[in-house]
Formats: sequence, C-alpha cells, structure tokens
Amino acid sequence: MSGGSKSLFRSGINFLELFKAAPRSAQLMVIFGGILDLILVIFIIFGPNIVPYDPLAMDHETLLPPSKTNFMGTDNLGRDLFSRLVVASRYSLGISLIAVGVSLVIGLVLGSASGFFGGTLDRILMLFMDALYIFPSFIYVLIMVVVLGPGLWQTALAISIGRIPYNFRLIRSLTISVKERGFIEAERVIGADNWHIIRHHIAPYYISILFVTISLGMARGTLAIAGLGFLGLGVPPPTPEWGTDLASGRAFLLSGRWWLVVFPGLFVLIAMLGFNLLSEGLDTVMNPTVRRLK
Amino acid sequence: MSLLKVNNLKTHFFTPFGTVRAVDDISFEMESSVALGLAGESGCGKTTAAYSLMNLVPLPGRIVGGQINFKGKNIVEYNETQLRDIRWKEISMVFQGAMASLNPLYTIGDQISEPIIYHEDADKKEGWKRAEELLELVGIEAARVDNYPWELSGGMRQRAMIAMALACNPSLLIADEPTTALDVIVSAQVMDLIKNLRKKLDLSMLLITHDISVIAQTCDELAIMYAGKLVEKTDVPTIFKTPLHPYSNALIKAFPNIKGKKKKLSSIPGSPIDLIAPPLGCRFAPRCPFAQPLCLEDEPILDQIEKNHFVACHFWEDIQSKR
Amino acid sequence: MGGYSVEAVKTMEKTPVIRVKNLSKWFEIRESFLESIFSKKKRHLKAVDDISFDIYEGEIFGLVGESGCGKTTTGRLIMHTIKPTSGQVFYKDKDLALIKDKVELKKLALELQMIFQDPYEYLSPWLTIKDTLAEPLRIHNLVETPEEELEMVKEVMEVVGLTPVEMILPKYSYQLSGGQRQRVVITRALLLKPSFLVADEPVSMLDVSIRLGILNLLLDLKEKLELTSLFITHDIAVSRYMCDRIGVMYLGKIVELGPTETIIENPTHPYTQALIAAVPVPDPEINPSEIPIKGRIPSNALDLPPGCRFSSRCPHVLDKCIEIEPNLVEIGKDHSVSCHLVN
Repeated sequence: MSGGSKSLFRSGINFLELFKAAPRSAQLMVIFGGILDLILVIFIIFGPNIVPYDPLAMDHETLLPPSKTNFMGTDNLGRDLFSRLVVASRYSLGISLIAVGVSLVIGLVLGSASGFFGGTLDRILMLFMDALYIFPSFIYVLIMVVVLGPGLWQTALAISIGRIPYNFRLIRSLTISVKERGFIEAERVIGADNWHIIRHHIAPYYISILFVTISLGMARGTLAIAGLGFLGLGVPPPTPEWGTDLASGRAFLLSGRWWLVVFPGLFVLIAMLGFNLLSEGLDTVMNPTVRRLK
Repeated sequence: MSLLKVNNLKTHFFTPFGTVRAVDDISFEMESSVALGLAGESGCGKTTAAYSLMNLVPLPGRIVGGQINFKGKNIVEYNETQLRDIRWKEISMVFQGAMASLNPLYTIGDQISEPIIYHEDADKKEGWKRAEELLELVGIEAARVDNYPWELSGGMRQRAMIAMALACNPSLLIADEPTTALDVIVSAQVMDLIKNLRKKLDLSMLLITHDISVIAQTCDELAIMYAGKLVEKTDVPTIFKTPLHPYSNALIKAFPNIKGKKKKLSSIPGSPIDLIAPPLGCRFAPRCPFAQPLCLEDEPILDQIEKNHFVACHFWEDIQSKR
Repeated sequence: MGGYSVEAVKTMEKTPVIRVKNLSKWFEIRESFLESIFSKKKRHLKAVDDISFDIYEGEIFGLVGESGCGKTTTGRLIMHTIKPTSGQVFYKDKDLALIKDKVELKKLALELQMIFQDPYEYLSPWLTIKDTLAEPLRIHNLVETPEEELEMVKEVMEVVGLTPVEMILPKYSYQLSGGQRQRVVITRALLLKPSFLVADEPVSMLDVSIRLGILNLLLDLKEKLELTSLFITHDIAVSRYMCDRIGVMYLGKIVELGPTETIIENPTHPYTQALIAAVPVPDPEINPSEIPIKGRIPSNALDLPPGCRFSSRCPHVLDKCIEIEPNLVEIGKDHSVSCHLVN
C-alpha cells in the first residue's frame, strides 16, 4: 500500500481560500508582484521572438538615445539595448533559477537531516553553516567564481553555494518546530518510521514555504548575478546580461549616455521588485494568523 | 438601585468568515455584595460578556447593542476617558492564566502599585506600601514585592493577580476562570482566598467559569449561558435543587461525584453550535431531549418566573412536572 | 465485598497485562558552562522514581496526580516512546526494553496504543479524516484493497460514534469540534485492534458537556472490546468514575495504590486525603472542608528532601518522615500506602 502518497498534494490548505482571507495589502502585493514576474517569464520564454531586433547584431548606429526605432537606445557596439535587455532575462534569471534550485535541494537535504535527527550530525553541520553565515554570501560567490572560472553553469553553481547556509537554517528550524508537534508523536505511536513521518507529515510544511523561498532566492540570485556582471566576473560577452551591460555602460555615463546605465538597472529593479513583492505577499497569505474560526 | 444592570447586551465579532454573534441579547441584574457565577462552555460567550462589561472587547469584536448600567450609568456610551476612570477603580478583573497576564519585565510590586499611582495620585512610596499590604492580604509574604512573575509559582501568580485587581478597592471584581490553569489543591486554596476576601471587603464578584462546582462553593447566584444566550439565572441553592432549563440540568449532572454513591451519568449528545449562523428558535433545541417542533421555530425569551428566577424555555413547566 | 466490584476481584486473579517494576526516569538538568566545570554533582529531575504496579486484563487502571507528579511520563514509559533510566516494563511478560528488532517494535503498535490530551495538536492539519484514519492500516499493510480499507474505517467509526460517517470522512481536522476530534483519535487507535490502551487525560481539554460522552465511550469500549487501559488524569472524581483501581502519584512516587472505591471511601495517605478534600462538590449544601495541607508552595521534583517527598506539606509530619523515605506497604487487600504514619 502506498501509504497515502496522494496526501501531499491534497493539502488541507486551499490557496484561493487563503488569498481571499488575506489583508488587502498582501493581496495587492501578490497580484502586482505576480504580474511583474509573469512579464519576466514571458521575456524568458519568448524573449528572442518578441524583440524587434537581434540582440547580438551590431546593425545600428552606436550610442543612439532612446527613440521610436530603438526603444531604449543603442549601445557602443550598435546593438539595440531593448532587445538585449529582454533576452538577457534568460541569463540573468535563468541562472538564478538554477542556482535557487540547487541550493534549495542541498539545503533541504542537509537541513531536514540535521533538524530531524539532531545529535552529532546536527552539531557539526550547524558549526559549519554558522561559520559560513558569518560572511556575506557574496564573498563565497566571488571565491567560487575565481575557482570555477567564467561561464553560465559556473556562475549558477557559485551563486547556489552562497545561498546554502540560509536555506539550511530555514529548513532546519522548520523541521525542528514541526518535529515537536503532537501529531508527530502520534505517528510514532501508530508505528510510523522516520521516513514515513518526514515524507507525509513534515514535507507539507516544506511545500508551504516553497514559493516564498523560491521567490526570495530568485531576488537575491538576480542581484548576485548582476553584481558579478558589474564586476566583470559574470557571463562572458557577447551574451547579454543586465549586470554586464550596466558595467560596460558606466564608461559612457559622464558623456551623457544615461540610457546605457538606467535601463539595465531598471530591469534589475523590476525583477527584484517583482520577486520581493510576490514573496512577501505570499508569505502573508500562506501564513495567516487567524486561520480557523474555532 | 442595583450595582449592575445589563439590558439586551449584544457583542459581535466581525471576521472574514462572517459575524460571530458571541453575546446575543443577554439581560441580567446584579446587586451589591453578591457573587454571581456566569457559567457555560467554551464559545458560549461568557468571557466576551465579561470583557464587554469593561468595554475591553478585542478586535474584531465590539458591542453592537444594549446597555450596561453600572451604578445607574450606561457605560456603553462612555468615551475612553470616562472608561479609564472606572476601569480598575470601580470594576477590575482577574484574568485567566496569570503567566500570560503579568508583565515579565516588571516586578509584581511595580504592577500592583501602577494602578494605585495612576488612579489615586499616590507617589511611588505610597503605592509600594499599599502593594505590600495587598500581598499580605492575599497570603504572599510582603518581602516578595520585589519578585518578578517568573519567580513565583502558578498559585502565587494568581494571588498576585488578585492583589492587583483589588489595588484600587473596586466595587466589582470580575474573575475569568481564575483556577483553570491551576492544580486541584492550589485551585481550592485560591478559591478559598477569594471567598474570604469577599467577606472581608464586602466585595461584589462576577465569577466566570465552566466549572459549576466552583460556583456552587463560592457564589450566591448562578447564570448559565449557552451559545450567546442566557438560559437560566437564579440563586445557587435553587438551581442545584431544581434546575429548570434542560441545559442547566444536564450541565449540573455532568460532573462525576466524589462523595456519595457512584452513579452512571448520561452525556449531552451533539456539540455546541456555530455562532455565525445560529439556528432559528431555541439554540439548545438540537441537543435537547425534550425538544418540540415549536422549539425549532420560536426562540424562547428569558422569562421571570419568580422574583429571582429567570428561565428561557418554552416547556419548563411540563418538564418540571414530569420529573 | 469491601469496595471491590466483582470484576475487580476476577481481574486480580488473572495475570497482569502490564507489569511495571522499579521504574525510574530521571532527566538530566543542563547546567551553565561554569557550573559544569566547578560542580561535580549532576542534578536530575526525578520525574518518575522507582514505581511498581500491575495492570490486570480487562480493567481500567488510573494514575492520578497533579501536574509534575510523573503520571504522563509513566504513560510514555509504558508505551515505550521514551526509555526508562532504570527498571522494567513488562507487557504480557515480555520486557519491552529487550525488543530491539525494528520489525518487532513496529508490531508493538498493534498491541499497545495511546490516545492523547490535546485533540487539536494530535491530528495532522494536512490530511483528511479519511486519510488520517486509513494511515495506520496502510503503515501496517493490514488491508488489501481500498474498499476493504474504507469498510474497516467506517466500522470502527460507527463503534466510536463518529457519525455521520459520510459527512466526516472528507473533512479536515480543523473543521471538526473538539469532541469529534477526540473520537477521531480514539478511532485511529482502535483500528489497530490493540489489547492495551493508554489514555492520557483524554477529556481535560474538552468542554464539560462533551466529556461524559467520551468517558462513557471509553467505558463502553472496555466492555465491548475487553480493552485493558491505563487512564491518566489529574481529576480524582473522573478517576472514580472510570477506574477499577488507581495509583495516586506525587512527585514521581506512588503514594497510594488500590481499588478505587476503597481509596475514595478511606483515603489513607495524607496527600490523597488533601486531594479528595480539594475537589469542589457541585452541591452548595456541602461546605468545603479544610484542606489538610500545610503551606502554599508545592514542592518540585528538582530539589527533593531525603525523606518523604510530601513531608514539607504534610500536616502529620514526624521527624522520621524528613529523613527516611517510606515504602509502599500493603495495608489491606490489594491496598498499599507509602507513609510512615501507617506503620
């Protein structure tokens, strides 16, 4: 008998019900952030198809200000900035997504083991993660980039390392708080083994924080990639990327070509705004304080 | 003039799931120097009624109708300043679960003297002296006035709360489940203390509890609430001898006895109702062994059948005669 | 018959289902870093200290005491969810501590089950009632088909009075009332057809009008299923209603042990006397008696005096009591007391 594997998805929590019960501010955050994120998703999937020009083609006059033909102007190599930045979503966000995925899986495995089993394993992992947590995660990202070298996958891996201590702690404390609940003790009395308990009774809690964790991770990740790009350590040229484009645009700022800095920055801003709003709104919606009446 | 006269009090909670009619039109009167027990199960509205008396109903609730006449004045209409004048000075409260109600950052001396300093314009020295006196009154050594709440045991914290409630010599003391969180023996000692204090200070008391036995031992009158309504009110000896409302009867008989012969008791079927959409008619009808078709359609009003006996039941006479 | 029911006499002649021998559970107190360097002695919270009793087949045995007396810990020691510091728990003559094999331990769930105090905490908020109830059957592979599973669940729901069945199955625990949830907990325990049930304060968190329903249900189950139970409670009046025999506990020790009616009619240990005197009686004509207990601060299980644990509050305390701990001594047929006064 499968032991009720369907139960994970037939969750007791109905999203629509929760959304309706949430305060107006949270609802707006979810909607607004969601719309922004949806736009970004469209850029990621359909980017190359919807942009007016080839992002790599140096067909235009260089350093043109925004106009009707070049919506956001052109860069110093004659490439249309708007097309570049839209397609760059794939790289700036795509890498972030991979990084979030990897760090989430590792954080989940280590955090749940540490929280559930405790003991020496927990103490060792906590010491290790606490040590990592002392420094800003960006430092680890930089170290990994230097070690691994340039490239898309390398960047993704570097950023994921930076996020692991945070995910580890999050999952670990969640696991510990659930582990002490009464219904877990009831499971042991019924004769359930550890694996059954984790799979059917602790996992739903992980899922409830999944969306928020991903959104937040995407925000941080995007910022990290842009930061790397800005430092010249990100994706190698000529791949369009918001941070790299912003960095190269810096040189032209003083001569009045503001669009080369403002628009890449704007894309980063919109991405960050979208993810942060969505994650904060979702957090409030998924964790109501007055959940039931009785 | 009676000390407290409540007329048609209604307190509702406005939640996203609907309006919870926690207290739905209750009326009763209380004289000075009397101890009235307000009994009922969780969700019946007794705690909300108590908080309404001090106009302290937490959001999303508020008093939506009726009057609370305290010493002749309707305090439902009072503004915050007027309310502040009577809170603690005239009406004070001992809350359930003393640990949650005492501030862990301040000594109990601070907490007891605070209302005294505020209401009676006393200075800190006088306030503390009074605090020490009050502690002695409730059976805690005066030296403990410097203690923090976590340094006291559960029973002592409850006593400290009682001292705090008596700080400004109120006319009415409301005690909300004062012994629920306590062990049997400590709880008995606290109730004993309350009884003695009442005698000593000639204090009027409203005791809120689900435990009828406690009311039997300490109160003069008893009012029973069910699903936001008052179903019966009379003096204690009468209600234990001849409970008229079927719910009162069932509630009184629901306690396994320790003295006398062992009896098999019968339970009340069903469960308490939903206060968002209460049924038409008598709210107890779905669980009442004597329910008739009329009970499901027509809500009984609280009838005064004797000077101090009120019942809300269509068929109390028939039920009475059959017993 | 001297306070025993016919059943009580019958059970005493049978072998015990549960035998507890010199059972102790001490919890180590974590000290501050400095203390752990400078002081050699380790401090222990002696939650359960050298207790022994038997539970006979078909009876409801009660453990009565206030919070901190060790009754809940004892329940968990018997269920073997926590391991004893010393002493043994025998189930049908098998020492539970000796069962190391995982498969054997899992099978224990089919014999020993437990129901808990808090019906709100002890049910998962994520599963429907149907899944919650089916879970034990699935864990132990007790049924072959989903139809069989549903049959069994419905059957036990009817026995426990968790009706209407069709309406309740698809609901989630937060949609049920306290009484219904407790019935779910009971149903779940019974689905494994255990021979022994530990009930840890099953009605303390329920409304008064609901309590009797659950209590009467448990009494019914005792008759119908011949279930042996350990009933843990702080309310001695409830223990009188439910239990055939009781053990009164104080700070980790059993101070009085025997048939319920005997103890209620003739409480011998001063603590039992105080406990009974403290119970409020729902009868205004009876004046509450003076509670025979000294002082207001109950002792805790941390810094215990060398002698009797009740000595600091006992109205009849002798010098001997403070120095030497009394033993559980039989004073009547199956009635034991742990008090120097009795000797």
